[in-house]
Amino acid sequence: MVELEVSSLKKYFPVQKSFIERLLTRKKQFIRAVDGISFKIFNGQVFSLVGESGCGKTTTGRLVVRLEKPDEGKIVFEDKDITFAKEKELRPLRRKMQIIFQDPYASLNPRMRIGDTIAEPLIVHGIADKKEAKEEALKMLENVGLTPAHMFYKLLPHQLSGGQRQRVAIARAMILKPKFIVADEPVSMIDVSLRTSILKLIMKFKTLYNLSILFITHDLAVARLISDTIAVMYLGKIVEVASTEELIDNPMHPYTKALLSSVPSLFRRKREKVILKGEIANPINPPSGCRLHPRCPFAKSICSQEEPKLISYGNNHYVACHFPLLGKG
Amino acid sequence: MSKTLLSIGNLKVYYYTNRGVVRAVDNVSLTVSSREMVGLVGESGSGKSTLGYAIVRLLPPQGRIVGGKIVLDGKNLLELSEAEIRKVRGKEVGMVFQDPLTSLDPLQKVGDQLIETILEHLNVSKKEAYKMAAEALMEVGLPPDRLNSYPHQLSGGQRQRVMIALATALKPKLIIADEPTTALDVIVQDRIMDLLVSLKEELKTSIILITHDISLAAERADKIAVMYAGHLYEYAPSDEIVSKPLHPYTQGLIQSIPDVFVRKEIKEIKGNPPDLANPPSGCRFHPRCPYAIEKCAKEEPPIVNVGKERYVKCWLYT
Repeated sequence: MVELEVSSLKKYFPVQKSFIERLLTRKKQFIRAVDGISFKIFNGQVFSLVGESGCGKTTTGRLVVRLEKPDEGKIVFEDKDITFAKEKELRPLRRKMQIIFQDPYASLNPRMRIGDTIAEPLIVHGIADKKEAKEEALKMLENVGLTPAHMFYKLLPHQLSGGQRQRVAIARAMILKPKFIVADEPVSMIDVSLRTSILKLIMKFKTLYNLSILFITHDLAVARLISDTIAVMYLGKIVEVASTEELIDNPMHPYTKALLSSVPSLFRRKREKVILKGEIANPINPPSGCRLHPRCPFAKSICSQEEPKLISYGNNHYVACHFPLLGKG
Repeated sequence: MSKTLLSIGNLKVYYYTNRGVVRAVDNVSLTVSSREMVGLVGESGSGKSTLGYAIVRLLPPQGRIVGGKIVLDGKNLLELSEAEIRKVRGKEVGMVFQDPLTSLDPLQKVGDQLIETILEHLNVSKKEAYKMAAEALMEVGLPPDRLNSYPHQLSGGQRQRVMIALATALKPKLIIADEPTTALDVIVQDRIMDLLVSLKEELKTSIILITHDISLAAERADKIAVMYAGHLYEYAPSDEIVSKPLHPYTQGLIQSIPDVFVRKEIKEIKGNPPDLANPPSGCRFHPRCPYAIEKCAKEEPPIVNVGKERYVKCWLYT
C-alpha cells in the first residue's frame, strides 16, 4: 500500500533583493528548490532522499508534511490529496504525520519542561486530559531511554545533551502514534558514538507503529543502514532512485557514482573515481538540459539541450541520464 | 625510518572554568614523524582540538598548559616567549580551521591576507610577496585572479582552499588541520583531502588531521590516534586500527559507525561521554567498557607499546 505519493512537485522561493536592486530590475528571480519531483513511499518502508546541501531535500520534506505550500504538483497522503489543503483540513492529518528536525537545540522550547513538551501534542489534539497526557509522556520517556522518567520529566532542554534532546524530539513526534514521519538529518548533529542508538530508536518505532519514513540525509552510509529505497537529488531534481543495495552496488547516474566515490569508508574495496568538474551550480539559473552537464565527464551535446527523463532500467531502478553508466558497476 | 618531527610528552591542558577544572588533555604523549599524516580522532569533548591548538599554544583564556613538553624539531615550544611562538605559528606550523568563513577576514581581499602573512614572517619585498601569494593560490588549485576576491565571493570549498593556501604559503614543517572538511559536502571534502595529501608530498610536510570521522582518517592518514575524554587511548597505523583495533573504545567506535560499502551489524557504545570537570576514576572509559574489571575503576592504565608502532592504553594489554 502506498502511504505517500508525490508527483511533479515544485517549489520556487522568490529571491530577496535589496531596495535598489528592486528599483533597477523588474524581473522576479526564483530559487528552484524543488523542481518537478515524483516518488512513492510504501507502507512501513524507509525512503531516503540523499544529496548535497542546496539540492532541495529539506524543502521536499517540509512540503510533504505541508509546512510549506507547494507551487505545483500533487501530494497524496493515505489516498487524500493534501497538495493545497487548508490548515483546518490538515489539522486532523497532522496527528498521522510528524517531523523530526536536524537541530535538537533549536527544535525544543527552552522554557518548557521536556515532559510537558512530549505531552503537549496529546492535549493540543484533544486526545487526553492533562493527567493522562502526563502518564503517556512518562511512558514515552521510558520508551526512548530517558530514565528514570520522573526525573527526566522535570528537566529543561539545556540540561540535556544533544543526543538526549533528539530523544525528546523523537518522543514528541511518536506520542501521537503517527503513520508517517519525515526525519530531516536526525543524527547529523549528534556525536558519532550516539548516532547508532538514535537510529536504532527510530527503527524501533518504525517496527512498533509500522511507520513509513521519509529520511533526509547527506550521509550515504546512514542512508544505506536504514533505508529500503534511496533517491538521489541534485539541484531540485531526482536523478536516480533504486532499492538501497541496487543503488550502491550498481549506480548508473554519474552524479550518484561521484557521490559514492567520495564517501569515506573503512572498507572500500576499489576506488574508481568519477570526478566532477567545478562546483554545484546556482539554483536560480540552473543549467539547461541535464543540470549536471557542465560538470559531467560523460556529457555530450544532447545533455545541454534536452532534459533527461527519469526512466526505468528494470529492477525498480530509475535513472535520469542520457548516457547512464550501464554495467560498469 | 623517518625522523621524528614533533614529540609531545605527558601533556596536560586544563581549563579553569567556574564549574571547576576541566582536564581536557591529560597526560597525552604522541610523536609525529616527518612527512607523515596523523589522524587525531575523537568525539566532541575528547580533547582532540585542545591538543591540536596547544601545540601552537593557541588556547582560550581559561585554558592553560599545566605540564609536559612539546618538542618540534628539537625545540621545546613551551619554553618559547610569546614573540618566539608567534614566529613558529604560520612559519613552522600552519593552521587550517574548520570554518573558513569565520577564520578569514571578511573585509580583506584574499590576496592581502596572504601577502600580510608572508610579509610578517619573511624578509621579502611586497612585489615578491605578491608573486608568492599568487603561487600559493595556484598551488591549491585556484586561479591567481582570486587574489582580488573577498571571502564572501567564494564558495565554501574555495574558501577552504584559501585557508590551506594561507597555511602552506610559508612551507611549514607541520600543518594542523582542525576538521578541515566538516563544513563541506562530501564531493568537495574529497577534493580538499586530495589537495592536502598532495601538498603533504610536495612540501614534504607533516599533517595532523583532527577529525571526528574515523573513516576519513583511515582513508587518508598514515596513523591514527584515538582520543576519549582527554586521554589518548590508542595510536597505530591506520590500516591496523581498522583491521585489528585493540582498545575497547576503538573497537566500539568501528562497530558503531555505518559504512556505505559494507552491510554490517552496527552496535552502539552504551552510555554517554563523561563530564570532564568530574571524570570517572581510573580509566575514563571504564563505565562504558564491556570488558571493565575492578582495577579499571581504580587505576589509570599506562600506555604501552604492543608491537611495531602500536600503542594502547588499557589494562587488557599490560
